[in-house]
Amino acid sequence: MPERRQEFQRQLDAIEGRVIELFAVIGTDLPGATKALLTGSNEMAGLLAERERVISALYPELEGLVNKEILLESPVASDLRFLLSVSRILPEIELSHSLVVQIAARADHILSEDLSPRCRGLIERMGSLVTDMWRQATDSWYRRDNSVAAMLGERIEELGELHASLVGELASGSMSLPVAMEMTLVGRFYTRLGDHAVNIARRVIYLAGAHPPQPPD
Amino acid sequence: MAVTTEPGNIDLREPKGWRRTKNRTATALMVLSLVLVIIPLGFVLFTVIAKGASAINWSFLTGSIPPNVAPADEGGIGPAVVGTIEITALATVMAVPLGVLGAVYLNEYGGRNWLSALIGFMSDVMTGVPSIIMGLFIFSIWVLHFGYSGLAGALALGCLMLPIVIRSTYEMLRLVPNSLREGSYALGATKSRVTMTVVLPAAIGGIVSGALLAVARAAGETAPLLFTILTVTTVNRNVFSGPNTSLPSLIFVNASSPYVGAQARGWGAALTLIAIAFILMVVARLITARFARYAQ
Amino acid sequence: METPEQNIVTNLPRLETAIHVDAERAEAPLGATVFDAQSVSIWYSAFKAVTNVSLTIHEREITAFIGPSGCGKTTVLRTLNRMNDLIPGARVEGDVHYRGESLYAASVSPIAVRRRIGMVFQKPNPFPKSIYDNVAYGPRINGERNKAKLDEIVEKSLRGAALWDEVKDRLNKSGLGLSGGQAQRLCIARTLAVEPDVVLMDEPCSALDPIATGAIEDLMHEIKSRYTIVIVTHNMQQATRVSDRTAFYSVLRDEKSDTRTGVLVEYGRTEQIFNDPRDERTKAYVTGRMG
Repeated sequence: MPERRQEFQRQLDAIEGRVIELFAVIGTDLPGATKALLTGSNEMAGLLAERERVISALYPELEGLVNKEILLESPVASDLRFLLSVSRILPEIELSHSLVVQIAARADHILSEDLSPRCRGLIERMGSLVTDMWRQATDSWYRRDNSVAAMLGERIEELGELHASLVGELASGSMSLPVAMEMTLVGRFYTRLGDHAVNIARRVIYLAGAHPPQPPD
Repeated sequence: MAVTTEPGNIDLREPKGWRRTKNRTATALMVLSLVLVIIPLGFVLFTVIAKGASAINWSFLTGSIPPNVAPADEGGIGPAVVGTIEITALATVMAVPLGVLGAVYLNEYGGRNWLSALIGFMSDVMTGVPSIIMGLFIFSIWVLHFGYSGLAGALALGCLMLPIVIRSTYEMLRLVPNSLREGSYALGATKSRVTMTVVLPAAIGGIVSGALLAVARAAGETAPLLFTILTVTTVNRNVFSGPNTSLPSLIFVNASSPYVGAQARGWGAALTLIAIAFILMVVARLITARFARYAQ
Repeated sequence: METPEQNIVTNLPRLETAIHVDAERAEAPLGATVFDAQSVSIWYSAFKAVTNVSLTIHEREITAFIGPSGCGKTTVLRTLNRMNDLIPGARVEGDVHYRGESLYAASVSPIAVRRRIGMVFQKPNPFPKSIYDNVAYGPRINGERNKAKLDEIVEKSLRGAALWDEVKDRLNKSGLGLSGGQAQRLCIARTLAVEPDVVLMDEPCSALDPIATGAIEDLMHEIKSRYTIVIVTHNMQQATRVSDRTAFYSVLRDEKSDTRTGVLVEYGRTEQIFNDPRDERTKAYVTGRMG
């Protein structure tokens, strides 16, 4: 490969590396946020907010780099699909992490003892389902696997059912109104996170193309 | 007849009818022309070889010219060979460098100025001047003052060769692509450097073969020598003074003699002359090939 | 198979050393001015080929000249090393300064100019000599006779042009026997052999296939640290790939006299020219909407 194109490849690899890292950040922070919410840990919420501050500087930098590579390198084929896909999922990542931070932030507003056991159980299940969906989506990006989107499309229904149950539980009046309102928001946060995961998996269809290469194991 | 491109209607076979006939007629005419041209050439060659071959041997080529009455196997054409070589060589030394330099001026330096136009025009005119006129010209300006000599003959031959060398060198120089000159200039070469180190080496094959063709032509000229060297029968190694002889002159004298012996020697001389011209052509080809080694 | 999350330890310190992959492409400090053209107009006899061009070329940068046919970009390029002198009737108005010295002053020798400012042409033009003699040509006409020194120069130049490995065993073979890409690299080696300060390139890759083009572009990138390069190109992707600055020329039509003159429309950093050009004509050209 000509030296200059090697240089370009290194840039692409660096972008991919950062994207994977950002995925992983959310993948670990999400269960952390759920746990923070359920245990009432303010500390965790603080930590996550701090993390949000750090990575939010990355988005414009990555965007700028992607724009520059598209402008100056005239990419085609997988290079072009990669750069365009990164450009499209960066907003998804940004919003997702912001949602994670907000979930944890709710720990500030409620006491974990205020939650009904059924509510707690549902939150836990939603949390773990979304975490799982997120991991599957980001894994599909890493492996350039375009079959995951369909599967996640089904799991989102499952998430929807859990959410419906949660709403029912909240409406039943087993918790105080302020707490119920907070949990309504939290329920919305989780469903939105699920949507982001599905969107990412959908982007992989374009990214992978018809003959996706196998990433090194 | 329009060409149709509908599927199933495409006919890729040889065109029929009058186009085919026309094609074949033209081909036949060309072949016929070729044959017509080759026949007389072959005839001449055949005749000269047949009539002259018997006379050729080393003593013939080096022996002195006997009186015309002598029989065929006596004597030889030595002085004529020497004369031809001397005079033609001198003419070449005078005409070729001058012609090459002239062509270099025309192509590289002169451009469109009046001098180039003049040189070009005069050169073209000289190409058409009958060779006997050249001889008379040298007779009147040189021989009348300095007497007959090989030098005078060489001058006359040189005048014949000069326009040929100028024209062929000029064409060869024009064929050198301008991109080579630009490449050389771009490296910081002066005009003379460009000409000497790039243009001339690139054209040298063609220049040499053009010069050799001019030499071959000059070697066979008779008329300009008539008034300049005054054919004698002895060897004259001093080419600068005293009359001389050459193969064409000898052929002329012997062919007009009634004696069989002289005529036989004349045929031998003719064959020798053709052989010399042939050798020069071959050498020209070899030189071109050698210099074209880098120009593949 | 380990998932990436299990591989990557995403703790706070790690993300704090976040990306600066941009480092190499970050704007380097502005180099010294190599060429300073001031209101340059170029005439061929009575025909005004280029009008009122002013720009500065900076050291250790690759500057691209782009524009439609007839816009004068090659004319301007050739003005930088006085190659236009070879065309009868060509004259230059305005001034071109090379490192502070006027290029067109009466006392300036074009020969000396061309030894410092080399040129590579659109169609590779190796001399009908051996590869060795092609590269040694420049040094030889500069007076270098020492065989050992010439050997050294030839090897260094061929290495510099990334051609050494391919031809080191056949240096005495004809330069005309090389493929297009190799021949162009030979011409570049020949230019580098006289150790110029600037290398001008007139559409060097337009006769070459993509792989040979890539090799030349790599070469340009590599020698950029030692030479200043100005390249005329028709290929806009090439301009974005290799150049730091781009000058866009266009054609000014004079309706009355029905003449066309070249003019410099916009000159700036390559990213700005192709991302967000200021002039409408530039925008029309780079987006393919001109003509």
